[in-house]
Amino acid sequence: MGAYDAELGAAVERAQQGDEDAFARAYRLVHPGLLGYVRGLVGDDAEDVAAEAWLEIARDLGRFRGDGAGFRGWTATIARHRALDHLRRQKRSPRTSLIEQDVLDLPGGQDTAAAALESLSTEQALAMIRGLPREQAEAVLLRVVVGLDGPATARVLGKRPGAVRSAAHRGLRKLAGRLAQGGARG
Amino acid sequence: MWRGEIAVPAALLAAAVRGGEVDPVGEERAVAAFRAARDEGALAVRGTRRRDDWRPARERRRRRSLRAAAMGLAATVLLGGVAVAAQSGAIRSPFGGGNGGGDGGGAVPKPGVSTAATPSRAVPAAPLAERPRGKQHRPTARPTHSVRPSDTGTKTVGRPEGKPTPNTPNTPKQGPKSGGRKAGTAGGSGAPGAKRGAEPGAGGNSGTGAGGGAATGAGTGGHAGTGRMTPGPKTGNAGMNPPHTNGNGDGKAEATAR
Repeated sequence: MGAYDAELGAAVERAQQGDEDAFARAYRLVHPGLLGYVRGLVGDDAEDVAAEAWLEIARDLGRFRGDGAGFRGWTATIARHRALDHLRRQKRSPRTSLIEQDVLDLPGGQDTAAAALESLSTEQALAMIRGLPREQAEAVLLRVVVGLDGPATARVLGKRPGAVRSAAHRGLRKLAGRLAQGGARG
Repeated sequence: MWRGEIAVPAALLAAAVRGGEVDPVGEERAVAAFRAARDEGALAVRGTRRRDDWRPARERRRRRSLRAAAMGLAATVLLGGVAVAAQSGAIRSPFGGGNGGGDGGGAVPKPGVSTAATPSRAVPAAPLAERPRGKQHRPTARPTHSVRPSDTGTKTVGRPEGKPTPNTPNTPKQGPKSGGRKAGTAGGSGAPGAKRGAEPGAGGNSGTGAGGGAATGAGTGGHAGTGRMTPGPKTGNAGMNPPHTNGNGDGKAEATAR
């Protein structure tokens, strides 16, 4: 993530001058993480919610000030608002997507983390995250999937950096535990 | 970044979730939205709201200011504690007895003031009694005060009379207030005028000044009063203003002093 931030910052600046290819470049750099984050919050409707977020991002692009990392934080904030609005409209809590147990069953016989990593699908990874308490899920998603640093994550969530740090660590520890269980399952 | 047992899930998630999703349809839709916004002139709207400002320098300042505000508050509380202790006699007032401070309006505001948090309260008791409260500005030297504190020379320390106003009319200061006050205050809010006497005032200021000074680095108002001493009619000098009072803090001080 950090590796691409310089390129992202340059693309955003050019896009702000009207360069649509630069905007497309920025989209490609940001969208995967953004979509992953939104999926973690709303589940199946993630593509629609992310598309709404991009409309708003395109519209407000002129107002943004910052570098590549800042753009990730800014777009994550917009995506989060759209996701929460979506959930409110649907009157659903962010964690209502039921975690189907079989999704959490990792392939048998995997007893190494590397193997688990290879075989874990996106759906499984996100389902595991959605199984976490909301604060932990968001902290993990923003840190790991969107690639924000601690302070930026705290800003997106409107929480204290210390609380966010703890939540991310707790969430990842839980996920580590689940991975270990999954791997052990024959 | 992630160490120990959580390194694996972190890497795992990052890879799994971000793994090369290609989304040509979504991309085209987003670029179309961008074109439309650009052609409508939306890009020209540059009004950056606070939430749109993610500049690194601002982020650093924002994070620093949170820390600074916390430190400023801590400094204020600490100094307030010293002031209270001095008032109650637990520690000695650096200004010596009441006479020194009170009379002369200001005699020489002790320069040290800025550091001491002591409330000048201790100072003044005697002199105050002598002086009519009320609209006089300078007790000794001048009858009606329109003289600026700087004239009095008591103020001494420094403060250039930056603020004559406080002394005037609305504040019934006793003794050279402003001057004195200023003197001590390093960086204090200029307003000390309200305080009475050089010393007390100074003391007062100093307390605040110090607090202010300390806090300023932190970027906060730091001292209790928020940096601005209202000229209001305060005779006594509250000395260190407890964090929650408004600059003058005199109300409380006065009461006791008198």
